[in-house]
Amino acid sequence: MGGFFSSLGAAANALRVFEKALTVTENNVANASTPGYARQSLYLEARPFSLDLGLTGGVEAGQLQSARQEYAEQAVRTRQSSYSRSDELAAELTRIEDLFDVSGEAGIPGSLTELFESISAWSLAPNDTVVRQTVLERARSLASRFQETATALRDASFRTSAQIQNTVNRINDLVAQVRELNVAYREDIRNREDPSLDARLHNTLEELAEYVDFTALRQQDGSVMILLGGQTALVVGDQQLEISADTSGAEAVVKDAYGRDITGQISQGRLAATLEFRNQLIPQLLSGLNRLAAAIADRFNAMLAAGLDRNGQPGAALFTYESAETAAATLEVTDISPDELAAATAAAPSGNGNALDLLALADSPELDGFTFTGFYATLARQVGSALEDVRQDSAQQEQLLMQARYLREQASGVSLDEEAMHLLQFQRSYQAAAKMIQVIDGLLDTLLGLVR
Amino acid sequence: MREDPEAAAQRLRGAWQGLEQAGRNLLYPSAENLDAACGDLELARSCLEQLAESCRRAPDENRAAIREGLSTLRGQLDRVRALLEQAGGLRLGWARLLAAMVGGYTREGTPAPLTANPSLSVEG
Repeated sequence: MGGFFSSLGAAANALRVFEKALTVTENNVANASTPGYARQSLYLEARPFSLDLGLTGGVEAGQLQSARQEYAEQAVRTRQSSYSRSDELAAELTRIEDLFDVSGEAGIPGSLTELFESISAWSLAPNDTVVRQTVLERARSLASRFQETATALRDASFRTSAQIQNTVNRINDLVAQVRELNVAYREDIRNREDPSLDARLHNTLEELAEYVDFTALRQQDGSVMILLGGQTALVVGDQQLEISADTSGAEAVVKDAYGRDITGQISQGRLAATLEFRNQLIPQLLSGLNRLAAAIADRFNAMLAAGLDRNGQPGAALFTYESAETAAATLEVTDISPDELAAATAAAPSGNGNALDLLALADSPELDGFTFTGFYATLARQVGSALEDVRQDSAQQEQLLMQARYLREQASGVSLDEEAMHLLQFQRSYQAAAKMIQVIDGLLDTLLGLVR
Repeated sequence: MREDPEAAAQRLRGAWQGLEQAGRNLLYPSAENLDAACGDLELARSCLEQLAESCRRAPDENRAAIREGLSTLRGQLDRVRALLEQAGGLRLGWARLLAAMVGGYTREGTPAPLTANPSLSVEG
């Protein structure tokens, strides 16, 4: 009789186990399209079987284990951060691309060409007041283009500063959400197995990866510790350590909760892109623009001063600016009159020698071995090639992110036996593909050598 | 004999298509897709070998176009390589993690949960 009741007990237990398995399956189906949800698996464990001892055998539910692989999750987050950085940088560069015209027909190079054209006309009719007036108008137009470009770059810098503040705020918000989850994990041990909390956590971490690169470490109590750039703690258990941004100085700086500069730790994510744009790219471009504006002004003024104006006096200065650091933004034409433009040289007081010398500046290497237009072209190319590189990188990072997401799905809920078989198969195919890539690489080298 | 410029362009296109298809397959790098990618790479290799023959006879005016095409292919190949390397790296890392768990420990050094099904044998 004891055997009969034992058997009934085993059957009832088995029913309970399969009921639990059914709940797991229902959960998987219900959450199939929930972002961040990972398939759950129920592990069944064999119960001891012994007729002598009355142990009935059968199965019981093992600890419910999330099939999610933290490893695959971290890989996706790493890729997300890399892709977001490239994507953001491409967006920022696209916004300023139009400021640097590569055709040479508009903007600063267009105005510079027009100024030299007016000087060419002036050299043919050095005493013509209308032609002299045209030279002054073209010079004003050039100064305006410099001011507009410098102002647009400074506006871009201000906008990026605001964006850095917003991104830092968003990072703090997301970390606060992780902190709340940590509290829930610590409060009740059962919460560690709650698939909806797990989905929320991974969803939040994936969004955080869009803004900044970090390492997430699961602690014994179920909580998650987040280390920005793998170094600075943002949340430990129920304690959040907020970061802040200081954009008031020449360089934007991100600080940890204790006020230490952690900007150097941020290498990926949208925050890294905006910091790079604000602290490196814009200053580089502004510096180049200032050098060009100052060089044009100084060279023109020096040559005009060496010549004689229409009244036989040394020529007056054409351009003025406040300082070398703000030359582009403050470049202006002085209150010079058309008659004060020095077309002649001391050797030929009624001639056009000085106007011809000014015209020769168009083809003269004046700045770092470049003509003025050539120097501007290097700035435009800097923007163009940076944008091209970052667009290509963005396309590649997007594909790598897609692949990492696919592999995460594959890692979720695969048994060890299946995985071992897949790995062997994968290894063989991987080696063949790697060898083939090596061969094609060599062929490309040979071909490029042939058509050099 | 002078090389037909259209033939060289066709071979470049063939190589590009092979690499592009390999990249598409590697976005979802199952073992089957990896095998398919090998086939695509073989196509690209074959086109490039034919192109090498024609390059030796290519007139100077065609060389710039071929050079440009080859640079594009280089970019495409780099993309395929990055996808393959990431897939391999992730699988390898995953395999190491599994090996640690099968060995009885997680990567944190704590005992790993038992995930293999126990088996029962009756002797008598």
